[in-house]
Amino acid sequence: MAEAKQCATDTDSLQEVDSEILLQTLLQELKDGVIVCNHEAKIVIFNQAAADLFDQDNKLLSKGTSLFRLCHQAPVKHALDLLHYQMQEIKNNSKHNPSLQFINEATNQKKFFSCRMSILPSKVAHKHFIVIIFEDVSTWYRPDNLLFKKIDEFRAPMTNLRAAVESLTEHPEMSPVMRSAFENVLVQESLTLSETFDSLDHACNLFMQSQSHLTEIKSDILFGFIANHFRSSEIRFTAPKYFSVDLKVDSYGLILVLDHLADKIQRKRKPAELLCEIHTGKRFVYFDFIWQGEFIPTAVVQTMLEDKILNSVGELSMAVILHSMGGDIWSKKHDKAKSTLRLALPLAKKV
Amino acid sequence: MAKNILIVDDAPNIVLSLEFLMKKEGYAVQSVGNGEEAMRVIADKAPDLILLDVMMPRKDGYEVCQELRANPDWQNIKIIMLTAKGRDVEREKGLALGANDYITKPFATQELVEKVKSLLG
Repeated sequence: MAEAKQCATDTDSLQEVDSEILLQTLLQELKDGVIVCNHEAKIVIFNQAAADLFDQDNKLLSKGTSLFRLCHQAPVKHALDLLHYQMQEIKNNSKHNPSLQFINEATNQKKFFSCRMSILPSKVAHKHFIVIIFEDVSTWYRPDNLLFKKIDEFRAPMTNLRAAVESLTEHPEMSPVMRSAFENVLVQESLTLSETFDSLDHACNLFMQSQSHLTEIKSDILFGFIANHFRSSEIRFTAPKYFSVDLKVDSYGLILVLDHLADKIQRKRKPAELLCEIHTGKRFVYFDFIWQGEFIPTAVVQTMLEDKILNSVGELSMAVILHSMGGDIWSKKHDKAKSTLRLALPLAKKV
Repeated sequence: MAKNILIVDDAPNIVLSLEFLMKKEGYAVQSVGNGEEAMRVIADKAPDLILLDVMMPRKDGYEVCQELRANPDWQNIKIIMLTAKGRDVEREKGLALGANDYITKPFATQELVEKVKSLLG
């Protein structure tokens, strides 16, 4: 009781501290870069970590300059639109402002950042502030970096296995005892390799699931946002309305992929009408593009996966964007000449 | 009469083991190294079961699977996909395209034998 009373007194005293000094002090203590912008994306406050991240020598980061001199505009605009939509949808149901995770690239293309963005509403309409926390993820964002780190774990068992095999094949005259010993090596090393592989597979899955460019989001919010996105297009969109599940997605990448797929179908098949239906399964959500007409063979779908996605952060292929979310695409032919191109994304795993 | 199994894989080392295992169980075995060859062999004589690798040159396992299921004559062929792709969504994709079962490499040989036996009754 006494502790609670003391705490309340301390809180009152804290309120007497100049709020700007308090904010500056808190910001400087954070290890991640923090930038606060106004509604026009002009920088209002930033901390030292942000200055370090964005190479202050170039003087790109200063109060009053545009955030988009530092990092690309499209991912930020997407995140802002989705956050506004999310805030509209949950305005009466939550005390906290939602935040959104996404990846962005420095305009000088030297760094990739995992960004967490929140909106600070203002009393003046449309004059909100945005807060973005930047974490440098350049070392792992490129998919090839992961392989270099993990591949060494395979070297020892592979070497042992190869040595044993070469000994067996190159020295057939060896004694039965030696032969038996080498055969044991084969068994042991095969097992070790299998286990090493399983652990790598598991680590990769966890890594991909926890990657900080994926944002946690309720499916009804995401589907509603995608429906709005497609509203201006000719695509008819339907999604489950009364049932929501947790998803972990790269929302910016997903929208780009959906746009790309819709564009590909329209160019390749020129359907009179293109429908996008969303279904929620036990383990996946499915985005089904449906049209009357010839389906797209798997061979073509597989090559589509290698398409570079325009405006994606790091110029990634569709396969890389989808696989980072645990997703994939495939096509199906139905009766009555109806065809489907399905994009599947896993539901968020409970950690 | 022995049931026929077609092995479709471009890696000779695994083909060697699969042939050995299947013959030991009393099946008649034929092997090919890519999807195109597989389609030619199947058109000539449809096997009872196919052990089908996913990643192959000249028509991958997904394409073979979808072509087979598009032809009513080949609906009864059992397909087990063998793949180095271990993500949940790839299993979902293989089954959606018509595979009866899906095994991720590396696998226990006994598990594969059991799956083959179970599918061929």
